[in-house]
Amino acid sequence: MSGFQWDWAFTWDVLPMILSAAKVTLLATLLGSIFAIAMGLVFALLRRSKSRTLRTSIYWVVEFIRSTPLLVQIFFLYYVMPEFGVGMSPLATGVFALGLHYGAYLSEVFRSGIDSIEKGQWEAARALNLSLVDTYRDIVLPQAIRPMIPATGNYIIAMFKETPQLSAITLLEMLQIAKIIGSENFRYLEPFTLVGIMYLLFSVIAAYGIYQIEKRFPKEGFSLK
Amino acid sequence: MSAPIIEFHNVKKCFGDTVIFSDFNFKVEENEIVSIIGPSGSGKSTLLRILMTLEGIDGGYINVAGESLWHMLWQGQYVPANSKHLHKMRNHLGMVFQHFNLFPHMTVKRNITEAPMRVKGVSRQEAEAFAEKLLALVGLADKADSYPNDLSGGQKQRVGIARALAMKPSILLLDEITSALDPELVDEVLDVIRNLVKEESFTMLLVTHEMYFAREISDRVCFFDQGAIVEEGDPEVIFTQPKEERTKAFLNAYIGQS
Repeated sequence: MSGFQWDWAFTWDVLPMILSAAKVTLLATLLGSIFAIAMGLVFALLRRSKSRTLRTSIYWVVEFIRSTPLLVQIFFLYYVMPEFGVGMSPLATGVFALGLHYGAYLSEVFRSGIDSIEKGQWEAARALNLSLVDTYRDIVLPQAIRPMIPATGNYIIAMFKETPQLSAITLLEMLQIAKIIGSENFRYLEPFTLVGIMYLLFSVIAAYGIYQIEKRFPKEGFSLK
Repeated sequence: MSAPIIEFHNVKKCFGDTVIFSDFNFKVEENEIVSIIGPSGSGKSTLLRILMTLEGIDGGYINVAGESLWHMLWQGQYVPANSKHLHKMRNHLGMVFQHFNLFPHMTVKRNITEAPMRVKGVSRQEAEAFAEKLLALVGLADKADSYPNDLSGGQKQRVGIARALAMKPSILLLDEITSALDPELVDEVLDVIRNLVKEESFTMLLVTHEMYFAREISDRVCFFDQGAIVEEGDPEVIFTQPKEERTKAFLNAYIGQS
């Protein structure tokens, strides 16, 4: 059995398929991140609401999402929701599940980022009669983004590494494709190794990118002229 | 004589169990400059913060320009003000803070134009033209494109004054505006206020520890202690012939220091 020997010809053969599946993985991560950031912001802002009922319910929603496994959420959205007439494609379901799950984590990051803004900034905004929307958009968020970058980046990389869970709902992402290639050719070494290298490569690049963004971001915050 | 522009009626204010004001009455006439002096913790800053709607009240009522600040009429009854009412009332007031509270991520110009553009819908051109005028007034015409962190404390506070003036308030609240400054920077800030009141008439309420400045600029000085006005009147009288023992002790301590 030659299975234990690395086969370069086979490697080059399957690489294009893995790469094209990598596009699906990256797309799910990208859309998932956008959705997660939006959800995280919504959760974080609602948790600062004046209404105690709203604050408490959002707290429990976030707690619920964080305390149940991602896979359960993915299955629920994919297999249960259609029974209520809400069916989505594997990719859309994946993006939604990743966004919701990581949105719950990110809401805590955003909340602490917003809390890090000095009281004096809020008071100056109020004294100038800025509306709440103006205050968040122009005063608070531009200053709160920098301290949020490292933790947000870590969660996005973590999300990226969790995309194989979407194979459970038949999304043809990298790991799923590697498995298919392996079972069709009776060779798993090369496809799985390639997938591992891909994950390593993308994670390292992303981590470096996040570090660069943080380093270049002005200390005072997103600059407004 | 027209009605006072600011009236406190039996105002009550607590922080938890600590009572700041129990039954506080206070009036300011239009275009009057009133200095509030007194030991720290006596409620001086709280008075300004309540007027700026940064702190609520626990009883009584306050009128600003003839309208209730913290209450509004609803079906013939006074009810706690909603955010729309507070928004309207805040247009009368402007505040300069002890710690400047400039927006560090904005240029000096943007610090000044932000509120007129966002709140009053003034065009960028118009807002910037006014900002330049204000910067010239506070002697910082060349700093429009700088960021607050590149300025000295005195310069920051002058921007703070310009920023408050950009909203054209009829009442200006100055909360210990020189307390966070190095002594050599105090006068450049006070000079701005001196020039300001020379050129325009303002209702001004200032909490200050600069006694000579209070004496020189004010129409009336109030000595505050433990949430009440112990003594008030003409600055010359307060500073040279105070009647109350507590005023004398406070002023003596100050003169002893400086």
